[in-house]
Amino acid sequence: MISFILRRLLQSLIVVLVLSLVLFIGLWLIGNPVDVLISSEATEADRLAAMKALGLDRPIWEQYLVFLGNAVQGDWGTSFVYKEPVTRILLQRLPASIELALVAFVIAIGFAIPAGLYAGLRPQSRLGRAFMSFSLIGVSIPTFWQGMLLIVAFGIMMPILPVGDRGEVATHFGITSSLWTLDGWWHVVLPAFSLALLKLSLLIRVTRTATLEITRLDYVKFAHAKGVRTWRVVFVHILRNAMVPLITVIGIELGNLLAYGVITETVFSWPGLGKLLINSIKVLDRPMIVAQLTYTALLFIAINFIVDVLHMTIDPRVRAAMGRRST
Amino acid sequence: MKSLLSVAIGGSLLAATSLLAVQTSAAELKVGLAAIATSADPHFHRAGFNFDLRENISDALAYANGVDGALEPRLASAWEIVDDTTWSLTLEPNARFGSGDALAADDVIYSLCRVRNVPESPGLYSSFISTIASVTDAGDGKVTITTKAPDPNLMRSLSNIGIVENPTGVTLAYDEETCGNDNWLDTNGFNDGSISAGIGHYTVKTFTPDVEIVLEKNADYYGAAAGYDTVTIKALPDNSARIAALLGGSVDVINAVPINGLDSITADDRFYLASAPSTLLIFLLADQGQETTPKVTGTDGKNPYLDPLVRQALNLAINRDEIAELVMGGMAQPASQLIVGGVFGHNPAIKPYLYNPDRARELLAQAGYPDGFGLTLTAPSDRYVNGAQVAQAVAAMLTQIGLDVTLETFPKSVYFEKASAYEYSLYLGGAAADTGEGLSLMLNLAATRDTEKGEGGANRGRYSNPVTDDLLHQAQRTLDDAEREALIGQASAQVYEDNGYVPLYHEFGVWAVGNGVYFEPNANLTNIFYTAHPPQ
Repeated sequence: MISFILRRLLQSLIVVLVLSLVLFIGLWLIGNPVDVLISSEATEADRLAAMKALGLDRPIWEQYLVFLGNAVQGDWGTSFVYKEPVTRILLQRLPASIELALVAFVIAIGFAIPAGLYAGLRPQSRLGRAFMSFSLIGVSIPTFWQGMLLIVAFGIMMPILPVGDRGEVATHFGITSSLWTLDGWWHVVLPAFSLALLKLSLLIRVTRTATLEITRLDYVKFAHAKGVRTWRVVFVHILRNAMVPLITVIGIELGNLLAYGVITETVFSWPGLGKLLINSIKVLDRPMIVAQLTYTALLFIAINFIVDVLHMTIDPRVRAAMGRRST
Repeated sequence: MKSLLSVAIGGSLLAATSLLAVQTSAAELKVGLAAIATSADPHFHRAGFNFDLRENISDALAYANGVDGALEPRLASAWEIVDDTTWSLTLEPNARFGSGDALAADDVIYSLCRVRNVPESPGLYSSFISTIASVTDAGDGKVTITTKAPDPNLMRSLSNIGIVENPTGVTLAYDEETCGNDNWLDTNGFNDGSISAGIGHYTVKTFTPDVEIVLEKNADYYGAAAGYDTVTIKALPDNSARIAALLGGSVDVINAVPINGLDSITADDRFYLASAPSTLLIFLLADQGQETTPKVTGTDGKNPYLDPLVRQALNLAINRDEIAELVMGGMAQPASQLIVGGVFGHNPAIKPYLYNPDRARELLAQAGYPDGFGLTLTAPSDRYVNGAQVAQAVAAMLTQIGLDVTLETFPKSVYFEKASAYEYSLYLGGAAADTGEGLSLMLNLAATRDTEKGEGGANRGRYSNPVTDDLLHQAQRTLDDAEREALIGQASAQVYEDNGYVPLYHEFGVWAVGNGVYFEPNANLTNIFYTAHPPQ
């Protein structure tokens, strides 16, 4: 187990290093941020002064090494555009993204697993088919479009929910979040549902497929024949086994929720990381982009790690395989 | 629940501009902007969205009013020209900083010195003060400014520099470097509220980058008080999100109303449109700086745009009225010169270009291209309102005079760097008059490109005529307004005659406003909050 963790850590380090290098070179190839930031009426001297001020006059490898040196010490650089430390801006935005992702995640899981399970157990039933049609619609509609549709329906035509923004925030236990206030909940419902819709539909389908497959297996039939109670068959024998593929998908989707709520955050003007990323890319704010995408990479690495550990706890076969490899 | 309430109020505003509604909105104005300031530091980054905030929180010595074009006194209550290069400014005696200290000459000197000394600035304001030779305290609440050469636009340039309080305790000696000082106010201090940005109608209460800025009325302001106690500025860069926020009632005013959203605003009787022609010119510029140009085919390697007949053909091939009406939804004014009507330097004698594709074809034949030639039109996809659609329409019009047009678009993050490297042969661009008058715009667009001198900065097609340059330089030295305006007008006429530019239109600044709010559209596209007020 320990060597598994160590190996993972080493791999992660390499991934992050390579990623930062690729980002640095990629952004350098795209263009010079100064040309985007500087006024069209500025003189060449002003332009050179700006390049010097932002450290862009130095060769790219030197810029990269300076960045690496600082990053190791926990300093991820200063935003070109805001002149604030990028870590401070990211931390300011992180709670908004997390609360949106969290609510969306709860909506997605809370609905998808029961619905998928039902549709898998009773594929011919009317309700089961209704779930499937719903999920088909959910995966087919583009997120930005259904987002706009939700806004038009619930924010403008039937103005029952507020549109845009996070609402009031409050601080409890050192966490500033809009989920502490009723107003915040009113604001989060619509974007969270919009964000959840695609994941929800996907998860219904994955759960259903897994359930269908497992229901046909001999040990389920045997359990039924043995006289095990139906609920026990469903929850212990079927669901637990169906969780194995589900957890992988849920893990990736959770990462996507946390890191790539870009479209939903843009449409609902939700002040999270996704919106920040898009705006940073538009003005080539390199320290911001690098820090944010590195954070994303770390996030996926962490989630994948947790998924692997969960696999080990749920599925003894995986545990055995991991154990063999690590010895 | 607060939002629910405000939605309900928004909905019933028209039906009852009642006492209740007025009182509720008198307290707070909520504005959704396509881009919000990146810093509360008035000297940090020269960009339109920062001019916005600066004008509301940190007064300059003067104010170039974007509504009527006038230059109004602010922290300088009066100024006079002593001789060709010397100006005497009287400081506003009632102006007080947040600390309670009165404005004094040393604050002005410190602020002008700081313009060149903002660490890690992505674009300084220094070219606004490049003509200044010295700034001295003349005593008695007066400041004397001398310029290196006569500079008629000194006060307009200074209208972009916010005045902050001098923290050093000494009066600096002005020079063009550090003024012998190393104690400069920290940009981050302005954002977190520990340093006041100066004297303005509003002060910054909270500043969250890229999310929102909350302003509070400055009760001690020396001039007319602002109409709202609190202004909340929200960043809503996405067009549809901005419209949705307005329709859903979470903001009272939005700027940069997208063309495809105009109908839904006008159809809704809770809102009205406030629009004004702006100084922002959208133009096409052909490469006139090199013998062979990269993006043209079928000309045996020649650069066809060097021929004035070809440039004239371009000008005649474009139906500007149709672009303004159909593509821009009426939110643009066809242009035949660089300076918009109503702004200092506009030449009323210049006639609009007539749309005449037949004549354009004849001109091409005369120039030796009876069958046209192949060209690429390059445009930014995300810089100007409907820019890509305008480029499409233009491409179609050029095709009709027998040219073989390919359209390419780039996002602005790469577009301008390529333009500065002269990689385009015919490109779409835009430029506005930061100073609110025409000379700076002309120098930026029509003067020979010389990055050292800071002239022709947006003239990336390198139109150049010594006659135009001469007229503009003469205007630069002329302090008499009427004479100077005539010189600028002559320069405009020269550009027209040379067909140096293909001006398309001047964009309108368009704001959508809830009925409970009075909001003033501004030709400089600046968002002025202090003139907004509830109905009286």
